[in-house]
Amino acid sequence: MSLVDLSNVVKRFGALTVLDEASLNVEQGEIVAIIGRSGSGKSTLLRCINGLEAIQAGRIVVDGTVVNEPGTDLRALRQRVGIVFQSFNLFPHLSVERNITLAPRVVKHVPNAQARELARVALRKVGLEDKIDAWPDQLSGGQQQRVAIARSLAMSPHLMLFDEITSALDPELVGEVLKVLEEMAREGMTMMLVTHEMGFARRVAHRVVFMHHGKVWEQGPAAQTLAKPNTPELETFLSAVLH
Amino acid sequence: MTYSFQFRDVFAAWEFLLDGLMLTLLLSAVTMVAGLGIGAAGAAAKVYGGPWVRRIVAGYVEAIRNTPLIVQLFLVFFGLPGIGIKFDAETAAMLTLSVNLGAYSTEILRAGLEAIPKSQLEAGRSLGLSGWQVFRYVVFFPALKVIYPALASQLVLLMLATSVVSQISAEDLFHAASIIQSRTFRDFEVYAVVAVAYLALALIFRALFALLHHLLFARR
Repeated sequence: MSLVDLSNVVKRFGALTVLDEASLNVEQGEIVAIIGRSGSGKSTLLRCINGLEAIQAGRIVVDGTVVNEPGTDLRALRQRVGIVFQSFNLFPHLSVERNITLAPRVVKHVPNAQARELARVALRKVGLEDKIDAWPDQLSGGQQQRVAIARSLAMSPHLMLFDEITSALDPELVGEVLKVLEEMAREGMTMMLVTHEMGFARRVAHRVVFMHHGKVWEQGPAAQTLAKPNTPELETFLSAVLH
Repeated sequence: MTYSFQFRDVFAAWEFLLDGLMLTLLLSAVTMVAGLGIGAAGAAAKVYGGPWVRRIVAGYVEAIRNTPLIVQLFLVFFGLPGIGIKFDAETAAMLTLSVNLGAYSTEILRAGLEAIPKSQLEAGRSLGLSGWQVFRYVVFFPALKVIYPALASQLVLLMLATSVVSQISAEDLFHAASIIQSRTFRDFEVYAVVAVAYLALALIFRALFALLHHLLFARR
């Protein structure tokens, strides 16, 4: 069974249909890049997967849990599905350590000393172990985003969602964040990332998913799909972003 | 014409002043706790409650904020007994002041809650925190920090406003002043002493709030 299984998902904001019968499967260990114009439903699709957005029709199954059922324990699901946002969303009143250990401590009841060790391990993975006692506003954007990734990693997720995580960064800081993702890819993490970094998608993703008008319009192996799109819409999109 | 200041008569009645001061402090303390409790509930209802709850709370807030405190006090102390609800002066004072502060602090605390970006709540929820945990660990502290100066000001205002309770014969600091004035006819001296006493209290309150601010928000 797929780790993520979306079938015919419909999401509306008022009269606006953002997801229009979108269907997508993601296998364990797979890295899927989701591309498309702004407004095509990429971010919404990602946010539906951990239940941040409720859907109007269709079915979403993640890691064996049906996300869109009334009785679903979304809290339990979210412990296994990490998400990193465009704007980092670190907690400004907590140190880096506390940002990372908050959920392990209050959700999983990990004792303090052990939680600090968790934070250390997670920070080591993103190359920021020396920043454990820093505060979010003392860090660069790239560093904050890496702490946000470490915060998710500390919950040992089965799946990581990345929502345009380099879009708010200065160009020279993008590389350090993508490097962390590449490292996670090597370790076999299942990842879905909404991105505008086509070069990165081609290099790291196994599969590229192109969204258009709220549908999964075209998908296929990354390099092949980006080099030889099947639909004129993807071709138009690629020529717009690559030139 | 020369006027000879005579503070001796005023200070001779220091026990009155001290008793009055104690009631002023007690009223302030009780009202702060109760009023902030009401304010917290009101703000939570206004931000997270359903439409009817929000409307009811909004009605309460506007009713209190748009009528004079002394009228509210008279309504409770002189008005309610007319329909069979009687309080002694101190209880009526505490009740009225708490309900009054509750309305003002509802608005202040609401502003704090709304100052926290939705993305912070989402980050908390995405980590598996419950609604209460998100409030407790993600929202509460930064919200308090945003509104702390406004809240501290409101609490100092409240302490000063407790002086109206002398009008229903609650024996606070200002009531003591009136008693001493009627006995000594040293109007200037007695009101000057009381003004200085309120000033000192207000400065002490502000210093305590500043200390608390440091304890709460300084980085460790």
